[in-house]
Amino acid sequence: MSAGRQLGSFAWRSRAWCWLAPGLLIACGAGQTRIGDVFNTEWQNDGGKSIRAVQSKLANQAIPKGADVAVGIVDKGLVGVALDSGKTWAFSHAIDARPLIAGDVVVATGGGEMFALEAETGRKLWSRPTPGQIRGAGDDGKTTLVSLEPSSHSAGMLVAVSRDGTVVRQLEANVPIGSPAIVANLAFIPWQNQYVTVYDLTSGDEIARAILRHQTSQAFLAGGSLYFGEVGVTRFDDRIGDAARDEASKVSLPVRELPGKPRWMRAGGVVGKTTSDAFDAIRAYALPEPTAGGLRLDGERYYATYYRIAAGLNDVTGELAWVRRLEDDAIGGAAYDGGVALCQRSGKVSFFDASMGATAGQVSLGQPVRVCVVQADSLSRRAEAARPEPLVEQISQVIDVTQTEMVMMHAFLLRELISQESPKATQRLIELATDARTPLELRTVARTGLASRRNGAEYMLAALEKRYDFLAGELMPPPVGPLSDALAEMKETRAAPLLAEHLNDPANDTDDVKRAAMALEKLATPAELEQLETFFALYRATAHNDDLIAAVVAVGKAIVRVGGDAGRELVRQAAYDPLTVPLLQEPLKQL
Amino acid sequence: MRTKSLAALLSAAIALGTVHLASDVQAQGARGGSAAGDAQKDERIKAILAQLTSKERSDVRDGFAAMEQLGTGAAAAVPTANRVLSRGLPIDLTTTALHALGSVGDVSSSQAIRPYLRHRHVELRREAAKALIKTKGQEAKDGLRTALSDADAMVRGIAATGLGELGATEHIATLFAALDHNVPEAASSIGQLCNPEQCEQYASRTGRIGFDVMITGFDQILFRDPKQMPDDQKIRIIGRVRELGTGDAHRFLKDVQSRWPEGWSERVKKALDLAVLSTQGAPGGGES
Repeated sequence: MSAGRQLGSFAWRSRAWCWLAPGLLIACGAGQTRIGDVFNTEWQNDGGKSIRAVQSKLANQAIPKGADVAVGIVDKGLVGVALDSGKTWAFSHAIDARPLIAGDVVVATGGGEMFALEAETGRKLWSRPTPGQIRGAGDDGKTTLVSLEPSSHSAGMLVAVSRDGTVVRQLEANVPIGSPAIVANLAFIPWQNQYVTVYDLTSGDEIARAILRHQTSQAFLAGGSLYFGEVGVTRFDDRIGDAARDEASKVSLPVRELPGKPRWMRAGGVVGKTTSDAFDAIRAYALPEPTAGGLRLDGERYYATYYRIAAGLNDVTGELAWVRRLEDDAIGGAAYDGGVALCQRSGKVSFFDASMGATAGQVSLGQPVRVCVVQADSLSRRAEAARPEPLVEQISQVIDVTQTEMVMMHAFLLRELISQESPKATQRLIELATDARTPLELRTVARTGLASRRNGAEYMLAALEKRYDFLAGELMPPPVGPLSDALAEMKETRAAPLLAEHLNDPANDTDDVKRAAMALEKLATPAELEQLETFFALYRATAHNDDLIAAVVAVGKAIVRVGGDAGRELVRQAAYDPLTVPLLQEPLKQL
Repeated sequence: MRTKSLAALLSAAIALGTVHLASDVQAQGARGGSAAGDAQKDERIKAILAQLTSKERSDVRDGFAAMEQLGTGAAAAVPTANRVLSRGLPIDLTTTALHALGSVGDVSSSQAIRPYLRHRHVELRREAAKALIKTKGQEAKDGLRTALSDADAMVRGIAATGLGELGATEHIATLFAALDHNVPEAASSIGQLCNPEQCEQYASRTGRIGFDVMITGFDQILFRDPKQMPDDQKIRIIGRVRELGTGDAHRFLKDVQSRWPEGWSERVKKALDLAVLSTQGAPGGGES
């Protein structure tokens, strides 16, 4: 029984391509098959039988690791750099779609042809006339499978080309398909975001189909394994037959709200643009790693970029592990065994260690690039520093308030900073809250965070020593309110004289004054009585908003507490004085 | 310490309120003598004191208004007025009180007024600064020096002007800092207070600071009493202005020339005349 019959609705039909425009001919005479009914959704789930059989057949098949290379688009064509040696190459050619790295070849289209280069050296392997743009590619070390976008001349198609440029099979696809992979001359073709068809390029038969329970438009090789995915990845292993029950070896990025919502993979089967876009700059990277129990992410990490900022996160909890600022926007990259390679718009490719983000060197494409694609399948790089600075310092360094376009990421990092126990976090939060250049949104986050700190009292006290002083150029008062909250909770009586000074400083806003007053309600000593009484006198008859009214009441309480009989009498007199703000009279009577 | 002062006054006011009122009136009575005018004045002061210590807002306002009207004649009411201000008043009454105390101009009021330089209500800070210029004393000078760092430009300006008027030579360095921080009123005060060396420091800012600002200081220097400011220094200033060679410089020099007092230094006058002549027809001068 043929595979087609086995799968019921499969029907691979050969079709000659010789009628196409002569300039766009690929090859006639090679085995040609047209995908038609193969995408028929009447297909009955075979319970994983066919895909399991294929997996079993390939179980001992060694999958060669691909080249470690970064390839960029420049005005004249392509440039590449070997990630291990740093050796660069350039290839001049028209480029009409984002190139793809598959195995040890780079495949691209442009100028009416598709071509393959040796990834390590940029040496041309072959070229063929083509009617469309490249949208996917796979390579098994012998054959390159190229998926081409439908064009006005033709439907979409898959073309299998041997190393010498011979077209060994071409398939017309009348339905949208994802990006394919190829292993041992078997093409794995994702389609309709849930199926993976296994197509035997030798026989021209579909020999199996898998159904996956998460969005799947990519088939790719990594670390000697075959994976299917887009939102999360499934490994093609002995559990693949259970994919339909969602019990295959699968791994996803943890659910974690990150700035810009970076995604791991683009939708497969779509022509990539020749200029980078936001998806490239806001992107997640991860390398799946087989384990005894299934699948997880290499180094217990996944990585996210937000333009010039790169972060390493825990693969299970999403907890931030490290963060680095790059010299330029990251527009491409790849996770490798023990780290991540990030390609920047400038053409530099930087390497970071998985665990703490230590730098692990850098290579360069030699010039700025419009697009950068990276493959790091067998790369291994050691971190240059044995132990980089702690996370709290990394975050502090990365937050740069002058980069106003990075506010979203900085706000995220600020929240991470707030979660750090170190007093250094307190110090940095104070700096951010008092830096006039800090965008309001960030300052608000920093202030909120400061109020919740319970360490770094020395930094807080030092901050409160400062005042608004026009002549001294101190134009931003310290975050008196948040510091008051924190110091009061910490029962830090050393703050009392400083807060008492700020109480009477008109440069502080009324919310800060209120919070200082409330802190003094707890922290004031008789030494602050004079300042408290001054405030009480200035505002008991002029308090014009809720903050000030609350502040006067709090100060009244403090006076009663530390001022003895005279203090109580002062407050009592004010409470019964008709010139006292009416809203204050009753609360003061209660003291 | 200003806050200490206010607090002390405030406590005293609460504890001794009416006792002070009585003693103030007695003291005034003792000074008043038996003349009919004095008796009338005593009565008026008595009435003011009663108004100031009233619980009625309108009475308090009237009391301060009466003080403002009497000016120095209301000095006997000042201690009570100071205490009332120190206890705290609504904004409108505070303004009235500051006007009144400024009008009386008693140095003892500076202590009561100074804390209002830190009030959140900017108008009160401005009024307090103006009042301190009138009540004078070290407390006023120190308060105005602090006010040079106020967030409000008008408060800074009033403070700078006040320091000049009060002859606060000890704060001239701060006035220079204020001038360099775009407080133009500091220029005139520096001109009032500088010694020859400081005047030169001031003059060296010509070109860096707008000429319209600089001439306010030059004017003060040139018209300083010859005993305070040597002719040589005045001639140096004239020379600096002349070297500018602009129409503005010419106009300024001509204006100074026209106001030069009879009997003042002939050397300076001669330098002025020459400078006016040499800048005649300068660009932007608007005259031949």
